[in-house]
Amino acid sequence: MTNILYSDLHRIIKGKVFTLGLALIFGYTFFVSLILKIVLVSVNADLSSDDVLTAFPTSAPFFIAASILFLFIGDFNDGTIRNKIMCGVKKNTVAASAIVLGGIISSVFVIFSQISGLVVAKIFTKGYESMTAVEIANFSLRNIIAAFAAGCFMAMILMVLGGTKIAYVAGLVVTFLFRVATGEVADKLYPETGYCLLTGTKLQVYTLYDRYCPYAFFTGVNYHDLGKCLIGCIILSLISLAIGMIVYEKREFK
Amino acid sequence: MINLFKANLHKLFKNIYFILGCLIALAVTYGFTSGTIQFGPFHSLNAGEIMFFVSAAIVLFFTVFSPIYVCSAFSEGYIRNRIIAGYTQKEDFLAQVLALEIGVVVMHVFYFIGGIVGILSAGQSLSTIPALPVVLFLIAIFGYTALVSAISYRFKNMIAGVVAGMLLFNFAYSFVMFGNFFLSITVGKPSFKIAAFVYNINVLGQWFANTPFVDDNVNGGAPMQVVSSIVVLTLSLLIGCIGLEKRDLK
Repeated sequence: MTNILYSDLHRIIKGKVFTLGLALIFGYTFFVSLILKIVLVSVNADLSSDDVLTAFPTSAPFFIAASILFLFIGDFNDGTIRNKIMCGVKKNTVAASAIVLGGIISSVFVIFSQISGLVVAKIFTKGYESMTAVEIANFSLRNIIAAFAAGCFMAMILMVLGGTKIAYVAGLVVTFLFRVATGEVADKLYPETGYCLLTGTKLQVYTLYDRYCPYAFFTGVNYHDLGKCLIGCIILSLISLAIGMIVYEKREFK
Repeated sequence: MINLFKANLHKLFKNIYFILGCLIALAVTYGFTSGTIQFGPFHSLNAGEIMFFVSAAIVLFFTVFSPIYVCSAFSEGYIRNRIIAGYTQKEDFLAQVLALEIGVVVMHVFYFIGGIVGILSAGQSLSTIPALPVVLFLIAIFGYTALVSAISYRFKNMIAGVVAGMLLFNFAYSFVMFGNFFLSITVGKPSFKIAAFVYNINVLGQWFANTPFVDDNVNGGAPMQVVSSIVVLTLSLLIGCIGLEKRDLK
């Protein structure tokens, strides 16, 4: 397991996709902040560091899905998996390595996005409007652990469906559906006007999603409890790991 | 070029994902409009409004299907056969886009049949069918499909095409929310017309503007929507064709 993990990590870090990913994160944070600054100044408002820091995390799930696709689909298209199996590596070890690395790389991307956010915030803003140092740390930590879980989940989908054309779109479509679900849950639980009108099972399901689903933490809003976030992320990561290893073990490769 | 177009149509109608997509469009539209599938936010809508609302799924389908369809020429290698047979990449691109636009129409036929049967099953009048918004949205999807195809054909890589398509879809989705905000701050000002035009250039902006969940003033009207769709379609085809004749194939 350690050998395959190390070789996969080495391949990813040395690859163009990883470097390009980091460049894209910085570019995205910079340009979104620039556009926001122009728009806000035009309506006599000002950009705050809070807005800059939350710019990337709201788009992180999509970025994670796309980067995992680029990083691991090559294993299926280039026949790398066959080489690994011929070298005596078990199929479930290959899957476990990809899923764990999916989580690690996604976390690295989010850590880099937070560093980029701090740098860009210094350039474009005068300071934080409402976030304290503790809140910034909480926000960053929550996004990092959520990114790990989302990365594991996306890698699991790819391992389960890899080799088919559905694998190209499944992760991205699932991510989009999570985004719609997160919007719906936030809208119903925390309406802009009035009180939450949900009751019964629906309220419980929505609350459960809001507190424990890692995809609900990428909203740029800083209210989730860190302990519950951690529990939700651990559960999703373990489920992804288990499903990925079991299904991948039973797969036949042409 | 007509032969290329015929070949692409043949390939499209044999494509299992396209066939499945058409059947799903029929089943889902029927399911929602007839009330077989219940969904909370739809309770206050009539069957015709529900029918229009679900049409956004066609945009999502072509977001992922167009890159797969267009880039298969490169991944499966038959673009080279076509070049050897004397066709140009520009002709191939235009033939692919044209075939996809026919695909959009075919999927709309399935969607429409599902909607009509669903509305009748729900015991509602056929006058509730949102004929004009559906036709306007069909034209908007023509432009959107051409745009996704143009980007994918540039990349030549299926994964990059799919990612770019989904990025565009996410952008279109986010743009609706930002657009609503900008329209609310420009309402009553001269810049509102420009903001409304920009809002309606976005395919999901046109979709949202025709749903009952939005203020009437967001909808720029049929002429503005048709013009913005034609602008997107024309620009996509032009940008898609630029430099194709000189592009090398590996």
